[in-house]
Amino acid sequence: MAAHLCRREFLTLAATSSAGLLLGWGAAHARAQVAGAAPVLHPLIHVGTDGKITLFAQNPEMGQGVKTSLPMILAEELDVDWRAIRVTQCDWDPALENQFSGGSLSIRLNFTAMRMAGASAREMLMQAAAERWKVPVSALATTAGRVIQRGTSRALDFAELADAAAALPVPGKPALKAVADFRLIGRSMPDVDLTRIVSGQQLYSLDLELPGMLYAVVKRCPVSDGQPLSFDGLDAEKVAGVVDFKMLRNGDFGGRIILPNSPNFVSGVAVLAEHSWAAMAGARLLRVDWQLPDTLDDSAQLMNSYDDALTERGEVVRSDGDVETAMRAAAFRVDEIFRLPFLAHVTMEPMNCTADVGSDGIVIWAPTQNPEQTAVAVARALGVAPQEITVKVMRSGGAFGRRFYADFAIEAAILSQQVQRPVKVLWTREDDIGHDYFRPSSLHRVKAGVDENGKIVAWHHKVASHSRATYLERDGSPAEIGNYEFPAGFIKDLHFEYVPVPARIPVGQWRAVEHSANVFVFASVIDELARKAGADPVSFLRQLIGNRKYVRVLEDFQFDASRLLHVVEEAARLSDWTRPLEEGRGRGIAASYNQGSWVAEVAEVSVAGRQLTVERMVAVIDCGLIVNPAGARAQVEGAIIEGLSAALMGDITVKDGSVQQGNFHDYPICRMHHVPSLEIQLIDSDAEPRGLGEPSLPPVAPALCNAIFDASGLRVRELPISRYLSV
Amino acid sequence: MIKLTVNGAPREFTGDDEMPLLWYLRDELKLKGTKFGCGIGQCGACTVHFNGEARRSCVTPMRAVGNADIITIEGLAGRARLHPVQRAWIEENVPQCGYCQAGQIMAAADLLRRNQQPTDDDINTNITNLCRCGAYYRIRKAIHRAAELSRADA
Repeated sequence: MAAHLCRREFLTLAATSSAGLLLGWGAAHARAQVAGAAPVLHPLIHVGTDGKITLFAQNPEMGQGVKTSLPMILAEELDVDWRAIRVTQCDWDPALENQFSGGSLSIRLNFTAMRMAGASAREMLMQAAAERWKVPVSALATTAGRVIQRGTSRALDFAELADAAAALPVPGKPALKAVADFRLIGRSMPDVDLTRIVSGQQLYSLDLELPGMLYAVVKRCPVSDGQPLSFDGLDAEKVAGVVDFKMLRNGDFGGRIILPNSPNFVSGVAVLAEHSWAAMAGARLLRVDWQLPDTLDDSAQLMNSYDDALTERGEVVRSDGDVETAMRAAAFRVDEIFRLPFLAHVTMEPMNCTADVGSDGIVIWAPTQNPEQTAVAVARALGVAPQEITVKVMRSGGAFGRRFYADFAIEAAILSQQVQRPVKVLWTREDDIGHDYFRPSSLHRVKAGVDENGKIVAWHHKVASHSRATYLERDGSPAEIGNYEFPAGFIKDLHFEYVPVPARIPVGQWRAVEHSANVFVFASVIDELARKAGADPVSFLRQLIGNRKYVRVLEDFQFDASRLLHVVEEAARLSDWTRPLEEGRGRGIAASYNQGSWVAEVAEVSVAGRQLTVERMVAVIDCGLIVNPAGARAQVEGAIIEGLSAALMGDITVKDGSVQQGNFHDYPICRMHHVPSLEIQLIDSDAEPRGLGEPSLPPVAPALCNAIFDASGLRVRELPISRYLSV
Repeated sequence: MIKLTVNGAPREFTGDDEMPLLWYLRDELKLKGTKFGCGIGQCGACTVHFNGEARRSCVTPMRAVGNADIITIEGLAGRARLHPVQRAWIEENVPQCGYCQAGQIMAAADLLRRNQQPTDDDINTNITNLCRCGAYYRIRKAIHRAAELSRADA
C-alpha cells in the first residue's frame, strides 16, 4: 500500500474486495451446503424453512446504521421487498471480508461486495427457475421476491427455488442494477431495531444474562502498567452475593500488548458475584497491594516534553520545495503553537463483555467493532486456535473507536475459563474513563507565510505527540500526521515532520483519529493567514484550493479539488457568509478531506464577555452515493455534536500515573442546551460511496475557534475552549 | 421487607436496602430496558417514573422505594402498544446506538405530562439526559411531535 494511504485509505476498493469476497464466498457456500443447513444462497442471504428470507448484517452496529444500510444493499440487488425480510446480526465469520466497523469504511469497502452478493443470489434463483420451467434465463425477471416469466402468469417465490438455487455454482460476474434503477438504496429507511429500542426490548451486551452466569467487576490498578501483588478480601467477601476473587495479571497472558495493535486487559483483581451490585460493592471494598511501574505519567509534564521534542529531528513525513527560502519571500507570517488534550470515548454503554468458556466450546458475546481481533486475541490468551471461538456480535451502546480493541473480551474469557461458568465483566463508568485508550494529546508548531496576493507560499508543520503506533506496537511509521492531508499538495514549499514522544498513557483510535487533531491546526492556521493578509476566509480558501479539477497530491493520489471547492461554496452559501453580523457575533469556516469525503463547516457564535454561545453549525459533505439518507444525516449530526463536546470541554488529564477524571461530572459532554441550530447538506451524488461516520467531526473545532476570533478577537490555540470561555 | 409496585405488579424486596433501584429492576426483575450509564445520576439512562415523576434510579436506594409506584420503559405504554412519545420517536427515527433512548423517552414523557406545549427552551432546561451519539437534535424534534400526537389523542 502506498505511503500516503493511511492504513484505512484504499484506492482500489471495488476490484480487490469483491474478487476476494467471491473466492471466500465460494468456500463458505460449499461449506454451508455440506453442513446440510437450510438453503444458503450466500453467507449473508438465507432462506428459512418457513420461506422467510433472512439478510445478515455483516458489520457490527454501534449506532452508525450499518445493520440497516448494508442489508439494504443486499436487498436492492437481490430484489426483495424490504418489509418482507428480516435482518439478523452476523456472528464472526472468517470467510467474510472486511467484517469490522471502523475508519468510516463499512459502506465504502463493502458497497460493491454487497451488491454482487445480492445480484449473484438473484441470478442463482433465476437459473433455478429457468431449469424448472425449461426456459432460457433471458425470458425471466424478478420482482419483490419472486421470479417471473415475462409475458406469462408464471411466478415462483424465492423460497420455492432456494433449495435448487443453493445447489448451483456461484456466478463469477453477476449483472448489477443501474444506479438509476435503485428502488431502496437512496431512500430513508428506519433503523431495523427502532421499535425494539424505543420499547426497551433491545438488548445490549450489558443486558445479557445466561444461566449460571457470574458478574465480575475488576478492581484495576489506578496507574497504567501497574500489577496486583496481593489482595485482602476480608470486607469484600462479606457483601452478600460475592462468591470469588481472581487475580488478573496481563503478564501471565501475553503482556500489555497481546498482538500488534491489540492491547491486552488491564491488570487487577476481579470480584465475582451473583449480581451486578454485589460485584461493584465488593470491588469497592477490596484492598489490593499494587506494584507500580518505576515511572508515573503526568499529562502536563508530557505536554512540556512535546515542547522539548520540537528541537529534535523527527520523521519527515513530507517535504516539498524549500520552505526556508520561500518563507523569506512571504509578506505576512504566522509562527504559532497549538496544543490538544487527551480525549476519552465515553460510550454511553460502558465497556463490558460476556464469555462462556466451557468444554463444549468458547462463545464470546462481544460489543465489538472488530470481531476478528476479538477472536484472534482471545484465542491467543486462551492458547487455542481462533476458529474455536464463536464471536456473537452485539449491538453496542456507542463505540467511536474504543471497541475496536479486544481487551474487554480477553478478560471475560479468562475469568470464564478459570471459574468454568459464563462470566460477564462489567466496567463502572470510573473504570471506563480511567482505563480508556485516549485520543493522544499533541503539540503542533506551524510556521507559514502568505504573499501580498493572498497566496500561501510556505508551510512548516512539526508535530510532537504520544504515538498510537508506538504505544500499540504497530509496524510502520509512528506519525500522527499524513502526507496527503489538505493543504498538502496545494502549497509548493511545505514540510510535515513528526516527533514521537513515548508515554505510558494508553492511547488508541478515537473518532476521526489523527484528523480530530490535525484539522484543528490546518484550518486554524489557514484562517490566521487569511486574517494577516486582510482576506476574507472563504475567498482565501477559494484561492488556496484553486480551479483545477485534480491536484496531484501524491504520485499515486489525484485529489479531486473541485469537490472540496464545491462544499466550501455550498457552506458559504448556506450560511449566508457575506451577510453582516451584529456586534459580538462571528463566523468561521473549516474545510477538510478525511476518510475519503469532502466536508466544509461554518460555525456561527456569539461571545459576550467570557460567555460563548454556539448559535449555528452549517455542514456540507460530499460522501458520494448515500445508501440511507436518514442514517447519513444522523451521522453528520452526531459527529458535529461529538466534535462540539471535544472542542468545548473535552480534557483528560493524568497525574502521578492516574487519570484524573472519572465520570460525567468531571469529564462533561454536551447536553441538549449546547446544541446549536444545525443545517446539514449532503451533496447528491452517484459517485462511489465514501466515508461518513467520521468526516464531519474534525472541522468543528477550527470552525468554532475561527468564529470565536471573528466575534471577539480571541484566538484559541489550546483546546478545550472552556480554558478561555464559559461554555 | 420493602414493598413496591413495578409496572402495575406488586413486588417485594428483601436484599441490601442500599442497593440502587436500577439494579433491582435489572438484575432481580430482569427488566433490562432501564440502563446503567454512570451510577451517579449524571446521564439519565436509568430514568424511571417514581410515583408519577421522572427519577434517576441509579441514585435511588431501595430503602427510599417503600410503597412507591414505579413505571419503567417496559410499562410506559400501559395498555396501548406505544406511548405517544414512542410513536414520535419512531416517526423521527431518533436513535443512533439507542442505549440512552429509554431514559430520554421516560424524561420526555414526564415533561409532556407537566407541560403539554414545551418550547425549545423548556426542552433544553428539562431534558438533561446525555446522548453520546448526538441525537439531541432529533430528540427535540420528536418531543415537539409527541406533544402534537398527545394533543391529537386527547
